[in-house]
Amino acid sequence: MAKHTVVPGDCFCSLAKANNFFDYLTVYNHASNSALKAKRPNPNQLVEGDSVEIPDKKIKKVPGATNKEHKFVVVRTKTKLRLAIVDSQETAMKAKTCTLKVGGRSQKTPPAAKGLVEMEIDPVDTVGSLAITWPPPKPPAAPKPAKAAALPSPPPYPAPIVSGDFTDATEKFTAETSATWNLHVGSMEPKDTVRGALRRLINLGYGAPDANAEDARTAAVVKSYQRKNALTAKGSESGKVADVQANLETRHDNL
Amino acid sequence: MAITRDAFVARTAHDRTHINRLAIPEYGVIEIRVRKSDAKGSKSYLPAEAIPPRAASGKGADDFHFAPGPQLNSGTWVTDAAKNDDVEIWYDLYNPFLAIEKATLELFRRFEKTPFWTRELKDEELSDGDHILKFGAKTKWDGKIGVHADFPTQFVTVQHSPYKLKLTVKGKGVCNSHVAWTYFHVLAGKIKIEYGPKDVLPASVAGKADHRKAYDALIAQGASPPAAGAKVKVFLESNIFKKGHSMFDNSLFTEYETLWDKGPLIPLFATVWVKDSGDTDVLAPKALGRVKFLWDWESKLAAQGLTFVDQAQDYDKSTTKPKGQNCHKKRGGKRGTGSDPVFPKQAGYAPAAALTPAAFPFEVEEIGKTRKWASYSYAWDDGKLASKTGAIFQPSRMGGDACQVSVYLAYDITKKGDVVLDVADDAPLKVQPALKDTTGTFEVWRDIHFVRYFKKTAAVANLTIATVQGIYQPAFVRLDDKSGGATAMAAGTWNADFTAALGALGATDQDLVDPAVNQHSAGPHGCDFRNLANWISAIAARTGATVPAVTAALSGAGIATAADHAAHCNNIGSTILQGLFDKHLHANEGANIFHVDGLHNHTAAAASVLRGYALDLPSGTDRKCGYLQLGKTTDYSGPPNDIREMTGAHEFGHHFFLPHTPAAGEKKDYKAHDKSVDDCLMSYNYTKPRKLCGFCQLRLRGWSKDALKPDGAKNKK
Repeated sequence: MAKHTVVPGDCFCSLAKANNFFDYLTVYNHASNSALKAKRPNPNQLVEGDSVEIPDKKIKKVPGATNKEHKFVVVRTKTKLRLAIVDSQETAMKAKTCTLKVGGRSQKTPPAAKGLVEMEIDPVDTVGSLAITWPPPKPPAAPKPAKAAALPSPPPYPAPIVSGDFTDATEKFTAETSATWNLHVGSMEPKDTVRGALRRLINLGYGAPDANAEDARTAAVVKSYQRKNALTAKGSESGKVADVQANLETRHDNL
Repeated sequence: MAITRDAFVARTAHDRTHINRLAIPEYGVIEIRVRKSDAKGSKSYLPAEAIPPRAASGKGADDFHFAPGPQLNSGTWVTDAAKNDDVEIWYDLYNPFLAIEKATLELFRRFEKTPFWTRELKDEELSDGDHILKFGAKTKWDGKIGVHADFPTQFVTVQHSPYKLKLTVKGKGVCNSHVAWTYFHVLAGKIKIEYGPKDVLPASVAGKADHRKAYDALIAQGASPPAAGAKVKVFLESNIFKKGHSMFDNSLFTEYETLWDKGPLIPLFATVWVKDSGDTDVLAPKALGRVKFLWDWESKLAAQGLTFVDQAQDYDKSTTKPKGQNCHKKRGGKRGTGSDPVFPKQAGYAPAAALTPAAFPFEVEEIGKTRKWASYSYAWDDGKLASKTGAIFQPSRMGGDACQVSVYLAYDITKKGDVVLDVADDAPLKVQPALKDTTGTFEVWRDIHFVRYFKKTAAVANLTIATVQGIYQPAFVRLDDKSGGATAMAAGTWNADFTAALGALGATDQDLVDPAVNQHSAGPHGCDFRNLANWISAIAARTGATVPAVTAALSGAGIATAADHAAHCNNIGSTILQGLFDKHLHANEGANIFHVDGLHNHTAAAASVLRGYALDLPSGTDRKCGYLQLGKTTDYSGPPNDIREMTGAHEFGHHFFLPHTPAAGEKKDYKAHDKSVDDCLMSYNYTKPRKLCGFCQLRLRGWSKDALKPDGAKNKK
């Protein structure tokens, strides 16, 4: 048995593949990992520093005559990357194009229902990208500008505002129509760690730090999350990670 | 630019279904307002293409206004810390994802691309939801923007109103509403013209026009300028008389010009109120800034109903700017291109707690562009005259000229920076009542003082001075009676002064007077002389010659008959009375009347009755004069044509530079009278009630004689 200390990007799937196990369950369900299994109910969410026991390989002997062909079926399990792309209101994005790349694999398939994009990946790949585009929003129908009525004499005071008199430049509005995520595959931690909560917040679009500990900045983000989702009465947001972990898991992990 | 983010994603094992939800953050501006309360504030705008993440309140109006800065107590004129009209800058951000990296507030005024004030929002100010911008510990804004060259009071002001407050956000994420803005105003509430204090005028200098005296005469008619529709008289003391000058040239014009030059100086101030957010007019001096106040005038002189005068007044009356009948520049007035300013330039000085004596406090500049007859002034933002502005109003010196003054708030500018009110339009300029104030009419009058009325005895019937005054009123001349009434001379004074004057004559002429006669009690006539026979006897007694010899000698000198004797008495009597009255010329500048009933006791024998003289008194000057009234009531045919007061007015007329009409005996036409009339006061036409002809009136008013012609039709243009 070998002991492996988890590093960023590790999960049971990647460790199994790296150690030539076709199915991660062989490692995950090994008795020597039972304590870790209890602590980490999701095999794809480990914490840097976790210790995983890598079991020794068992030799399987199967009789077979020589000079004959024998068919051996290997049950090779698939590991996927499953992403759900949503807008700020958590409504599925109607993407025009969608390109997912992980390692040497890529696909260009628009999101399915609920914004789901999934692809089989090599579990040892830790870097990827997701790029989507979407059509620009339809601006509201501009009201026909009313013809400026001729001013009476004497003109009123104050005179009606003439917007054209103000010559300040306003940056031309260009709607955002594309987004790209740099994917850190295998780096999601369990929901009950501070980092796990913050990374879920990052994924959900929040400007959270990728941190290990709570501070004023994390409190601000958590409060904003609590407010937006009406998790507490207005003004009573705690800002504590512990108070949002369960909700974050539901919002982030479940389709 | 594409949105780029990091995502930390878990793999999903073959027997699991968990996902990684990736959301695209959104941020934006919902709304920004300047407000007194939620119910009272400005209206927010978004670009037409904006799609805000949530709806704005839709509250507010484009005409929201407030009064920035400290306010004065109207009683003490000192800042009252309890008074203010502070407002909130309220804004609503959509930023639940903390995606906003930068949020900038900017203030703009019209026609300027760059903001004059900016502030970057920080920290908690960027959080999702609505905010009231803090200024230090306060959540209220008093309008202060800090140091800026165009905002010398450091507050937003009437000068640059209206304003645009813009909030622009930048961040990482989708933003369909990146900017919002709102408009607000700083408005004037009202303007009120008042007189400035006398102390801002130059100190009085002996021999020069006394502006402070003219001011006192103005204030005596009311502490405030005349209201619209009313009239006040501007009296210009001008005791200018012909001695040492000529009646026949333009000396009156030049002497009057030397004295009053470009006209009287009348300090006009205007208090300016600002409208607060509750539409109450308050005194907020910092809220005015360097806003311009346009001082304007209109000619209000009307036709006088005398053809010659009306023709002369009708000179380019519809083509000058301003229009009207005030005296044209070519005749010495201030109407017409190139005229001296009615609101002359003033340097002013910085606001202070006390005024500098004899200095005008407000800066005034003459408008050089279009409305050249008007001027701009600027207000004080502090000190004794905070919330006030003003100008020196200097109408022409021409009697009869009438001006109505208006002051306008000239805040509005065009894209090119031109002042909107700087136009050549006829007054009144078309603005709302809050932006202007207008006075009634200031009418210029010459003020000649009548300082002494001496008569020989109480038996001499007084002249009715009011009648004499009335004759000069059509010429806008006030003959101001300061005499205190007619005074009969004491017998002792009369007799002593008579004796002294007689003693200056030769012995033969002295013999005309019997030294035993009490001249004062002899009668109301000026001199009591011996008759011809007694005079001859007196000469004979003194010289030892015989009566026949004296008679022959006098006859040889042209004095043979009673009529000759009476004529000689006229000469001698005039000389004696001139010497007598010379001692009694009033010390003050002005006109004097000396009155006897008949020159002497033998006037009945004279070929003609002398009614009066414009005395050429030795101690008289071009500031002091006197006339001698000789005619008795019985010497006149009576009203309306022939009364003693017309003699008084006629003789004063000479002192006032008016010669006889050509028909009165002057051989030459001095081009000083209306040739179409024969009843000028300066004629001897006793068949009509004489009055000043139009030419005389205009000269008395100060118009240039050289610019007028006796043919009235030729004076019109």
